[in-house]
Amino acid sequence: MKIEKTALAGTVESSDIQFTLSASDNGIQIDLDSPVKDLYGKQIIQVIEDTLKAYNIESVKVKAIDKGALDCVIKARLVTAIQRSLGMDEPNWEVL
Amino acid sequence: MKNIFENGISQNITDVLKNRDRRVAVQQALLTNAPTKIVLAAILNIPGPVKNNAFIKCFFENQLKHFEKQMLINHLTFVKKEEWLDALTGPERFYLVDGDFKKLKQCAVSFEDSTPSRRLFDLDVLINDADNIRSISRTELGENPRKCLICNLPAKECGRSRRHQVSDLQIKVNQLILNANHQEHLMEISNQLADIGVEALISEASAWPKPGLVDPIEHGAHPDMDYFLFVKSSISMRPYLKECALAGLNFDDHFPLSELFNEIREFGKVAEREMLKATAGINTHKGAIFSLGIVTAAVGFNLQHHQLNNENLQHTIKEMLVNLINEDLKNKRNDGQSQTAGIQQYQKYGLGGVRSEAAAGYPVVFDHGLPAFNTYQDLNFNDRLVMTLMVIARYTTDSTLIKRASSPEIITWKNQQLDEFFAEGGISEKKGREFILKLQATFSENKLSLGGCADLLIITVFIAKVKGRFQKWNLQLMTEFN
Repeated sequence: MKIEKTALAGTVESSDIQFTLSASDNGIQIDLDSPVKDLYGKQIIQVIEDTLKAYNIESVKVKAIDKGALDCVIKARLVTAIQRSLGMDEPNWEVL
Repeated sequence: MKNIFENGISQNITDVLKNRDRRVAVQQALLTNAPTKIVLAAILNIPGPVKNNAFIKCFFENQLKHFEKQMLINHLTFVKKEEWLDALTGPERFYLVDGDFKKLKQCAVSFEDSTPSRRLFDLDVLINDADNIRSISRTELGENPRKCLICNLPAKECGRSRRHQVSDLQIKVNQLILNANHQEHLMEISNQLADIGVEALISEASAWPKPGLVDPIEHGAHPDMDYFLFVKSSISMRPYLKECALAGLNFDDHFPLSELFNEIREFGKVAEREMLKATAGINTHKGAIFSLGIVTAAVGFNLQHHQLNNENLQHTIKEMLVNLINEDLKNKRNDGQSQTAGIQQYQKYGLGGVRSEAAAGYPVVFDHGLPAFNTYQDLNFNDRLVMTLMVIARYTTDSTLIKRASSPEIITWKNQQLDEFFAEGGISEKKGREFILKLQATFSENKLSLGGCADLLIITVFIAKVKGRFQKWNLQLMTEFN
């Protein structure tokens, strides 16, 4: 599946993460901005990739501004962004 | 200790995130409508699924009162714009502030760092920076990042690594909130006790007619004073009464109660200076500072540790004053310093004045004053006070009266007069009223005073009012915290 419609979810409040999804011409591209990137960057990207995989998304540009969010927050915010982009109302929690 | 997290509705991650979106929308709207203002968003960081209940809400509101005071002190003008005190995701409040945003952030940081429990607050300062809504960070001001509740490492690290169990965090938060709420509760009680104390002082001064005392109509026995001086003097005692109440409420009952008396005696010295400042040097309430201070502290102690009743109160007073007669009256025999009427008479006649009465646990108040105040409850309040005062006077060997008459024989005359007053039916009867007005004139002509009795009326009224207000609370306070 490809992300075509730009969508946003999350805030830049402390312990949150803000995702902007948009169309990509080159598979999955992740741009992560995080104060804990050195320590947890890999882990955060893993969560993002796993969540995209659960939705079978193969092409998307992901812009993530992290403010120290926990994995569960990252996943929840990304799911909302995907839902919005795909025009679904309720998150498909079963796939997670 | 109680567990506050037993009550409340569990929140999941979606609830919390939805609420965060709502919060950000409110903040954006506030700063879009008022771009030159600063928004202060106050929330709590409560770990675990339960994020709000009566305890948490009470903590939030009480502590923010202190923060508001800090803003006022720092020239930050604010209006409370919106609040969601009952939000299941935790109480929130938004202020719109005028002033310097750096100063506001500094004020917020020092508040968050000021006590362990305030560490639970997250006070976010937001500005509209050329249509970009941004929050001011601690690091931007060169402040240290927030520390973890448990291990004092930077909170972000502990949060991200989930170093601590939620249950451990809850135990810590439970303790912090209960302690802070308890302290606030004590502060509130001490304010109420101080208010009741001032009310008792002003009530006594307002009652008319009072032979040998100052009232709004007559003060012939005390030409240097008037009613208004008593109002000023009463108000000057409020901070002192609050201190006495707090001393009693916070007193550790592992120590002897005489230490409580030693503590408030120091407050009393300051209170005397404040009284003299308020009255331009006239002694209106020296005896009341002594007696009402003792009783206020004793009430505070009993509210905290025991049940508030006459027996416990009297016992506490006696324990507090166990060394008073020995140290004060006997030791001062030969020191020739400026002395109170009570000390001089102890030396001359062996009468102990208010000290003996106090050290015995104010028997006149408990055996006569309080029962009389109860007996006359159907009279209007003025007449009830006058009748209670007359009953107290009948059973008191008033050292100010002896001083003015220069002889202890005045007591016999006083008792005869009062017996006659009661025989005439007291203040409710025409004859009784005429009698007491005549008696007041006699006292005034001869400059006789019932100053000691006035103090006993004050503490009678104080105890009666306090019991009315606190008897039910008392048990609640004890079971909630212990």
